Amino acid sequence: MMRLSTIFWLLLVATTGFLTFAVKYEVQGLDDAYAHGQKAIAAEKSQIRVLEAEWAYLNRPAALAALNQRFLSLAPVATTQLVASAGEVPMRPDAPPSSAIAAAPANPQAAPPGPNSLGELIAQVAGR
Amino acid sequence: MVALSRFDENPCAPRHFKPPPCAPVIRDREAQEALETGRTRLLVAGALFVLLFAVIALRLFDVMVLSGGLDTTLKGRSGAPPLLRASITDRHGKLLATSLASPSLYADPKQITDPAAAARALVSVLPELSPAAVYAKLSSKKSFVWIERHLTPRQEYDVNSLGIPGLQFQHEERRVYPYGNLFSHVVGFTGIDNKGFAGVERGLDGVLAGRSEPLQLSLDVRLQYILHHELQRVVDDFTAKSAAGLIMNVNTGEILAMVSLPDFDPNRPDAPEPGNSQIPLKERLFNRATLGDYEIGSVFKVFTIAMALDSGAATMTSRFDATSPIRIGRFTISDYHGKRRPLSVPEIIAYSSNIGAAKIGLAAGGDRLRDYLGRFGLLRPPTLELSEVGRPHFPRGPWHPVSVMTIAFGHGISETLLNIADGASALVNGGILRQPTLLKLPRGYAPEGRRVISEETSLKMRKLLRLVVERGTGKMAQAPGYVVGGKTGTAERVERGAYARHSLRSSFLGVFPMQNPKYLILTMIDEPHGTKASYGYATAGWTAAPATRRIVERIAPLLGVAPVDANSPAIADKLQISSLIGHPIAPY
Repeated sequence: MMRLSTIFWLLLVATTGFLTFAVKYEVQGLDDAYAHGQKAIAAEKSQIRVLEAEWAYLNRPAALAALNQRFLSLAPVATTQLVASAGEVPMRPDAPPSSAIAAAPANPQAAPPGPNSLGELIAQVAGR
Repeated sequence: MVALSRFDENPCAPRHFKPPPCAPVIRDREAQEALETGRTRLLVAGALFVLLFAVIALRLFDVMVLSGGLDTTLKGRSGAPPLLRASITDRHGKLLATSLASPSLYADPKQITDPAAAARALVSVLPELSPAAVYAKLSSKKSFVWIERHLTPRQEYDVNSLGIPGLQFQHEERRVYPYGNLFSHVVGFTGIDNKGFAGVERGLDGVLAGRSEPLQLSLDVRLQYILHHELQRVVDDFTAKSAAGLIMNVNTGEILAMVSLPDFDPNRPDAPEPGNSQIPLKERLFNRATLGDYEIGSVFKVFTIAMALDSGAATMTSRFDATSPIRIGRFTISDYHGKRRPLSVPEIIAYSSNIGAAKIGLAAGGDRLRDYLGRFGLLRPPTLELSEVGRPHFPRGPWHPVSVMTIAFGHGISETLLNIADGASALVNGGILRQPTLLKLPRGYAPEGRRVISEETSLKMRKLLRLVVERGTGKMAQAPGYVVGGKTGTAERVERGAYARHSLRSSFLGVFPMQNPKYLILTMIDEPHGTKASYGYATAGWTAAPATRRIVERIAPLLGVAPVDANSPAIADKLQISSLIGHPIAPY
């Protein structure tokens, strides 16, 4: 009887000891993974900061103005081009009667077949 | 026999039975006590263990169940990443200043076996270094020398691929200003150890060093660029020495743009400006919008007239005789383009009559003028999130009539542009003076202000400022559709203690849209020279006023100010001076 309980306790000690160590190593592993993740996040964040700074640098108004002058020649909006309120927008001219639309000949060849997906579009552009 | 009767109470036991000797009968009192003590000790020890296990169990329960399995006080073994100085952004989140980790190269000369070869190799990848200096550093007896601070990642890679032992990198924090010169004075810059040296970087150094999320300013990159661009254009067109300007929200006190020219690149504040190397560094680092105090000239008349109207010293129909110049002692106060007749208050401001303004000042009296200027915040240094703020200069003692007269038209008192802009905001926004700020305020929030003039006086000031642009000296600031109002100011600069006739300081205070003022633009151009296009004029009406018109036309669409017809009855009604209906003043 004594022997049986001794064996039981010994087994229990061994199991808990083993489990404790197992948990400890698992925690250590998780901690390493966590530290690694933190480091990766920090590196990523620092990369993002660099990219943000770069983005701001590339978007300097002076640089954009130079690019605009070179490629687009857009000018600031003149006062006369601005419409202050919706009330100032002229009404659309009267729509043609629906019978005229129905009578118009259908022209299936009018629009060239467009690409159905981005992949096709890229293939089309690349083919040109 | 007694023992037997105790151990063998069975009367049917065999006769030869003897009680076993294993259980001694303890009867001694002493032994009994020892047993009790042992039991008590066991109990105490047991209780102690139960307590300890209970503590552990409770803690386990706390860690695993109550805190959801997360213990926030524990950190990974890597420790927290170092806290970088907070970024600075504009009101729309555009990055004005940020900190990047940048590698700095140092060497341990004791580990370097061949300093000459190492120096040669280093200079081959870092050509900006001098070979002699590098050699001197590498052959020194120290164990730590900086070779070069703040390299690019590319340079770090190049140095690493040289494979020289004894060269090491330390990752440091470096401040980067993507917009370069655009925000030089207002954002400022930091030193090599990331301590704020100027601008917001210095004024809010503690805030920036202690937080990680970006600090949002009230500035707007687009407005800043437009102001910078137009001021630079005026400086170039009129070969001026310097210029400064700011754009402010009159209803909240937020500063949307602030420019001072000449400027510098905060990424390399001490580097000479390409093409501008003759301008001394001190001149370029100087913030003319907040630190410099200037005799602003006629712009100041708006305060005199607001004072007179609010205190009752004058009304819109009062007339002051401007027939002949005023002579007091060795001073003569005259008008630039004198009308040589009595002028009404609207005429005085529209034609910018010095004589008229001086007489208004005199009529109101020095005490009253001083009291009102104090209310407008013009007799104390401005408060702003910058440490570079100048203080106004004016006669300290009692103001003599001469001082009162000159101060009434903006001479004999010098002010920072910030003070003028803030005081003028109060004149047009309904009479509330607010503290100017560089920090973005929540949308729709206007800080508590202090009433300095009545709402009625403020309405009159709007009409008068509109008149100046409609028919007076500020006609060139007329931006069709945006109902600009304003006041010109042309002061003669003081040189060697005397006013220099042909060395001018031209400024313009512009506000729009006048029927419901929202934004104020104050510009100042130092020493502009007349050109053919301006018929030789370098006065405010020809320099600062047209610049203001261009600025308004460019920024109004960005600020969501819709163009309106200034002659429409709804607007004309708000801005028409009743005494002038039917008898408009002659155009300037």
